[in-house]
Amino acid sequence: MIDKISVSIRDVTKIFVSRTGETKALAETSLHVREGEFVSLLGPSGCGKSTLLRLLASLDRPSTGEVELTLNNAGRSPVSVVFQDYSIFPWKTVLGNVAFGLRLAGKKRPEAERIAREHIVRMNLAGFENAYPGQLSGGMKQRVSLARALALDPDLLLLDEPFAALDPQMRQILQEDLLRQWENGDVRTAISVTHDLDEAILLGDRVALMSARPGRIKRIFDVPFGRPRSPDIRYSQKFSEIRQEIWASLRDEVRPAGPDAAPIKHSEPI
Amino acid sequence: MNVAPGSPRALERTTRIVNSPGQLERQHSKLVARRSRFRLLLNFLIPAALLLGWEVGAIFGMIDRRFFPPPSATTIAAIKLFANGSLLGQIVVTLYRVFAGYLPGALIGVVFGIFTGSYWTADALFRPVLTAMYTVPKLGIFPLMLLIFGLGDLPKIALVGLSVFLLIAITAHDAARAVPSGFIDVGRVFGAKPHHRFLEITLPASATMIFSGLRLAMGQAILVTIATEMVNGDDGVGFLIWHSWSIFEPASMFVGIVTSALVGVLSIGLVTIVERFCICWEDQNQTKLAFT
Repeated sequence: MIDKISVSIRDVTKIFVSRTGETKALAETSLHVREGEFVSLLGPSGCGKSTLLRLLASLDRPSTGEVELTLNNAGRSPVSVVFQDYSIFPWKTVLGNVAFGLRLAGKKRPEAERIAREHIVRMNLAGFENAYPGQLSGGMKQRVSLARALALDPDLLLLDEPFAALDPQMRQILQEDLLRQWENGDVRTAISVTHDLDEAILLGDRVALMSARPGRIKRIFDVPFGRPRSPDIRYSQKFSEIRQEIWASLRDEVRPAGPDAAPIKHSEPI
Repeated sequence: MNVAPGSPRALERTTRIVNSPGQLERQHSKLVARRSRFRLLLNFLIPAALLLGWEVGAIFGMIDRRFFPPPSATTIAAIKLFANGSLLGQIVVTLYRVFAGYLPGALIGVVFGIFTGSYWTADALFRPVLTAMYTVPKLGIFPLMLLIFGLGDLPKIALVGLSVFLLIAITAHDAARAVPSGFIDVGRVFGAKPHHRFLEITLPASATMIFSGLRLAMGQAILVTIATEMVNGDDGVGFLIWHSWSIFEPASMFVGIVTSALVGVLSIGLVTIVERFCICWEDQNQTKLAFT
C-alpha cells in the first residue's frame, strides 16, 4: 500500500541575498516521501530544514530545482502547516482559530465550527472553546495550532519544529498526542522538522539527517519500529541503539556557532 | 499552487502542486533593479498626471486661469520669485522657525515622554495635563503666545516647539510603556541606575516608535509655522501664500503652496535619514515606507 510517491524534492537549492552577500541555505537536496509515510527531518540549527519546509509549503520558491507534491485528494485540503511559534491569532478564540482554516477552505460557519469542536475535544481542549490564546499555557496554544492544522484533514501535514517552544514535559505529552493522532489514521502523510532526536525517532518512519549549512540530506535512517507503536518504545534497547547511531552521525554536523551560523532571514529570497 | 479555485477536488484524482524557481529566483538582480525603477515611476505618477491634467485643462479653457493658474504659469512665477531672491529668503526664514522650534521641542519631548512612561507617579502627575494640552488647537493659543513673547520670531518658534513637544511626549510615553518588561528586568538585575535605564534600555527600545512620532511632528511643525506666518508678521512661506492671496496673485500663492509641500517632503525625508543612522541595529533591507 505504501508505494506511491507523495512528495518529490529534486535537486533543490535555496540562496538568500542580502546587502552583505549571498547565503546558501540549502545545497542540492533531494528527498522522496511515500504516501502514508511520516518523515522526520533532523539536523543542526541553521542547516536549512525550516527553509526546506517553507519550500514544501510553497511559502518560498527554490532558487533551483523543483518540489513536486502529488496528493490524492482524500482529505479536505492538500497541505497544512504547524508553525513553531504557534502562530495562532490572539484576537480569535480557540474555536475561532481552529475553524479559521476550515472557513477559508470554503466551509460554512456552522459546519466549520462543528468540525472544529470535534478536533478541540480530540486535542483535550474541551471547555476552552471560547477562551482567548492569551489565557492559555504554551502547551495549550500548541494544541490549538495542531487542532487547526489537523481539522483541515490535510493530505500532507508539515510540522516546523512544532514542540520546540515547549518545556520538556509538555513536549513529551504533545509528542504522544501527535503519535496517537497518527496511529488513529487522522494524519496521512507528514514531514516534521525537528532537532529533537527522540521526537524524530518516536514519530518518524524514516529520519532524514541533514548536514550543517549549506544543508543537504546526509543520510536517511529507517526507524526499526512498526505501526502502531506505543510511546514506551522510547525506553527500549532498540530505541537507544538507533538513537546512538543517528547521534554519532549528527554530532559531526553540530559545530560551535560561528558567524556563518547566524539565523537566516526570509526577507530577501532569490 | 495549481488548485483551481472552486473546483470540486473530489472529482479529480490527484492534486499536483509544483514549486519551482519563479522569475524572481531566476533573474534576481535584474528584477530587483527593474522593480526599483518601477517604484520610482510610481512615486511620480500621480503628481505628474495631476499637473498634466491641470495644464491641459487650462489650455482648453476648462479651468479658469485667473483663479487657478496652470503649472507653467506657477513655474514662471516661481522662477521670478527665485531670481529676485525673495523666495529663497522666505524659505530660509520658515525653515529657521521650523527647526528652532522642532529641535528643542523634540528633545525635551523624548526625555519627558520616556520619563512619564517609565514611572507611574510621573504618569499620574503629568498625563492628564499633557493630554488636555494636546487636544487644544495650537493656533487657538497663538494669541496667548503673542501676549507672552511679544512680536517677532519667538512666539512662532515657541508654538512650534510646544506642538512638537506634546506630540513627541505622548508618543515617547506610549513607546516607553511598550518596552518589554524583560529588558527592564535585565537592567534591574545588573543594578542599572535611572540614567542607565533611560540611555541604554528604554531609549533604544522605544526608538522605532519615537521616530514615527518624529516624522508626524515634523509635518506638524511645518503646518504650525506656516499658519502662524499667515496670521502674523511679514515674512516666511506662510506670509507669501497669504499676501499673494490678499493682493490677488494666485500664481505666487501656488508657488508658496508648492514650496511648503516640498519643504515638508524634504524635512520628513531628513528625519528618515537620521533614523537610519540612529537605529543601526535594525534590518537595513527593510524600506521605511512611512511618508517618504
